[in-house]
Amino acid sequence: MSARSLPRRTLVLAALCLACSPAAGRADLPTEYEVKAAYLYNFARFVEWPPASLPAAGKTFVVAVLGVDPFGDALDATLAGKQIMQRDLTVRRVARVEEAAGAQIVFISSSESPRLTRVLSALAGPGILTVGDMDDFARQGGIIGFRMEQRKVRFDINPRQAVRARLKISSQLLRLAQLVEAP
Amino acid sequence: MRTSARGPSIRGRLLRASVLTSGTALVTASVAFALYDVHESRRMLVRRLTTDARIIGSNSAAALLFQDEKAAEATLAALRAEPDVLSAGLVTPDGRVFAAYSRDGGPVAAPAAQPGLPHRYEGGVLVLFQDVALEGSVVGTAFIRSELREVSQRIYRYAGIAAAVFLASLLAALGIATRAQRPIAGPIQRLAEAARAVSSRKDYSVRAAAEGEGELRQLVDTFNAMLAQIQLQDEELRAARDGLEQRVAERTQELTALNGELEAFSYSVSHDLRAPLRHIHGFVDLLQRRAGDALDATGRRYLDTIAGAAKRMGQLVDDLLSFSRVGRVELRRGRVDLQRVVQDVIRELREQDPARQVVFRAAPGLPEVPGDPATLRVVMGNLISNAFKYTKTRERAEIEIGSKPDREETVIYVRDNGVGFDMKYADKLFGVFQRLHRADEFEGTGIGLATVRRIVHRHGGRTWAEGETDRGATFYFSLPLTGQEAI
Repeated sequence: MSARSLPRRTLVLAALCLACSPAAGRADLPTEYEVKAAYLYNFARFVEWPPASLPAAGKTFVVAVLGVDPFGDALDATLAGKQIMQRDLTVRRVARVEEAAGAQIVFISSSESPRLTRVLSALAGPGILTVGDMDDFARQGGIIGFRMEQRKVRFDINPRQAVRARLKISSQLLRLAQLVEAP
Repeated sequence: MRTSARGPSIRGRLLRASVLTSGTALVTASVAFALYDVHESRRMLVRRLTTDARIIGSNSAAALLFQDEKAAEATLAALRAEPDVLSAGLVTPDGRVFAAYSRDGGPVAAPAAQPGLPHRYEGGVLVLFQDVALEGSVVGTAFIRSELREVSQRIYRYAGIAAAVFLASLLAALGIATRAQRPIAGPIQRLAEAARAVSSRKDYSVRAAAEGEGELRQLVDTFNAMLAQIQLQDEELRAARDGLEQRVAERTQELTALNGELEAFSYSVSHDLRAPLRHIHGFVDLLQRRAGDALDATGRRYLDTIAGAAKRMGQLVDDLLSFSRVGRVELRRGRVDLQRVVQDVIRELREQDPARQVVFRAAPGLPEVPGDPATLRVVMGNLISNAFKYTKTRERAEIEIGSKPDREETVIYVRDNGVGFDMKYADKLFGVFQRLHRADEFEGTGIGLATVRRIVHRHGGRTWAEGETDRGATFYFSLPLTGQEAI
C-alpha cells in the first residue's frame, strides 16, 4: 500500500464533499468529529460481517461508543435514517466494555487509552469492528485506528486483527489505509 | 482495344460492363461495411470506455468517501493504457472535480453532465459519464474524454484495405472478364472482320469461322449461309452475263458476216444488172430510131413504155448501188460547209426544173460540221430533192433548211409544205423501198431516205421525221459535234 506521507487537501475541502455529512450543508466548516462520524459510517459500508454476528432481521445494527463521547450529536445526526446491510442503525453510549456486548461497531474513545489492553481483549470476539480514537490503536490490537495527518483524518488498519474478528474489509478501504501489525 | 468510327468495340464494351458491375458492387459493399464498421467501432469504444469508467468508479468509491485524492488519481492513472483518452476525472455530487487524469498533464475541468445522456460527442471528442455508486447511493461521477483516433485510424486502415481489395478484385474481375468475354466478343469480332472483308473485296467466298455457342453460333451460321447464297447468286449472275456477252458477240459476228454477204450479193446483182439494162436501153433506142416511123401509135407507145421502164430500172440500180456503196466505202474525215452544199443542191434542182416556183429559205447560219463531204452532200441532196419532189402539187412551194446547234450535236432539218405523211408511218420512212405514195404520183425508188439514214448513222447521228398528211413534213438528222464515226 502507498505511503500516506504526501500532503493532503485541507480538512475543510474534504468535509465539503461528504455526501452523508450533516455538515455538508452548513455554512461553517465540518469539525473533526463530524468527519470521524461520517468515516465511522463509511467503514461499515466497506466491511462485511459474518452472518452469525449480524443482528436478526428487524433488529438494529448497533454502533457503541465506549468511554467519553467526543461526537456530541454529530454521530446521531450522521447515522439518522441510514442503514447498514438493510438494518437501521442505533447508537449506544456505554461506560464499561461489558455493556458493548451485541454491538457490531465499537468506537473506543481516547478516554479508554489507559485500559486499552483489557478493553481490546474483552472485544476480541468475532463480528466486532473496533475503531479507536487514539494513536497506535491498530498496532496495539485494534482493527481501525483514527490518526490525524496534516490536519486530515486518516486511519490505520490491522488486517490480522480483522481476520481474527472474521470481518472482511474491502480492498478499497485497505488501499486507503496505513496497514499495521501488532508487535 | 480496337475501336471503329461508331464507338468502342464489343470487347471493350463487355469488359467495361463487367468491370463496372463488379466495381460498383465492390464500392457499395465497401462503403456499407465501412459505415457499419465506423458505427460499430464507435459503439465498441463507448462500451470499452464505459467499462473503464465503471471500473474506475467502483475502485474509487472508497477514495471518494474517505477523501483520498491520491488513491483516486492512482486509479485514474490506469487510463494511461488508453492512448486516446485525453482526460478523465471523478466529480463529487456537488460538481467539484475530486481527482483527475490528463494525458498531457494539464488542468482538467469537469464537463457538464446531461441527465439521461451517458455519452456525447463534442467536436470529435467522446465525452462519457458513469455514476459511482455504493450500495445504491451515488457517491460521485466518473467522466472520460476521449479522442476518436482509434475510430479514424480504423477507418483509414479500413479504407486502405478496401482500396487494396478493390484493386485486387478489379484486376481479378478484369482477368475473369477478359477470359469470359472471349467466347462472346471473339466470334462477333471475327464475324465483323469477315463482313468487312466481304464488303471491301466483294469476295463472297469468305466464311466466318464456325465458333461460339447458342445465338452466336446461330448468327455465324446464318451469316455463312447468307454468304453462300450470295456467292451462288453472284456466280449464276456472272455466268449468265458471260453467256449473254458471248452470245451477243456470236450473233453480232454472224450478223456482220451475213450483212456482208448480203451487201456483196446486192452489189453484184445491181452491178450485173446494169449491163443487160444498158443493152435493153440501147437497143430500144435504136429500135425507136430505125423502126419508129414504121410502127403505129400503139407500137410506139409500147416502145416508150419499155424505154421508160428501162430508164427507171437503171435509176433503181444506180440508187441501190449508191446505197450499197455508202455502207461500204470508207468515210473521210473533214469539215463540210453545209451552207455551200445546200446552195449547190438548190442550184442543181432549179436547173433541172426551171419551171417550178419554189421558195427556198436557207438560214444563212448553217454550220460547218465534221464529217465526210461526199456522203453528207448525198444526205442534203436527197432530203432537199425529196422536199422539192413532194411539193410539186403545191402552187406555192416552200422549203426551209435550218439548223439547231445543241451542246453535243448539230441538228439539221429540211421542212416543206408538201403532201406530208401520216405520223403512224414515221418509222417506216427511212426503210429501203418504203414508199408512202404511189410511184406514178411521185417518181422515186424508195431508197433515198434509207441512204440518208445509213450515212447519218455512220456519222454517229440520228434521223427522224415529223409530218401531217397534206400539211408538209420536216426531216431531221443530227451529227455529233465530236465527229465520231460509226462503223
